[in-house]
Amino acid sequence: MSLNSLANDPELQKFVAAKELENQLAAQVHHLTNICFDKCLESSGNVSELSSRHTTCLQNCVDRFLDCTMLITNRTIQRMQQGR
Amino acid sequence: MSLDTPKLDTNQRQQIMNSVQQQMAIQNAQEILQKLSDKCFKACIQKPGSTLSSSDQKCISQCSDRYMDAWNIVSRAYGERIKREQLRH
Repeated sequence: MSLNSLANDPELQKFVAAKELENQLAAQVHHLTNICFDKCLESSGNVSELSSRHTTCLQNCVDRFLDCTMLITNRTIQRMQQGR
Repeated sequence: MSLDTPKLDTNQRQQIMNSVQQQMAIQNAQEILQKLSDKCFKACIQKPGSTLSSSDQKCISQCSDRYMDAWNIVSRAYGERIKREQLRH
């Protein structure tokens, strides 16, 4: 079994591509959890149960962070296109 | 099995896929463990003593449970956001 057989195997390549995507998504979830845990549960991280307020905060945090990322991305692209 | 054979057989392919799957699971677990320790140590241990008191232990246990709860909520919210974005485009 050589590296060539790995590289030339289409099923394996498809699998690897899918896993890489999965990895990226998982990394995003880790990143988001890290940020949103701090934002939403900072002082109360060790309660016995998450309240609905906590849950809503976490959900909002995910969406707002992604909105923020998209906004920054678009703005940055705009700047680059304007040559600034 | 000849080293000149370019094709993988089903068994070899499956083995590789299983191995990759396992690696990813381990990596994922390590990532979570690292974050859990960091967060909960910071939240629960203000002044490190000579042992972990029972209240320290309780705090850490609850903190790690809550972090896992948060991880699940974030994971679901993220998945739903992706689905919404896909429907939009």
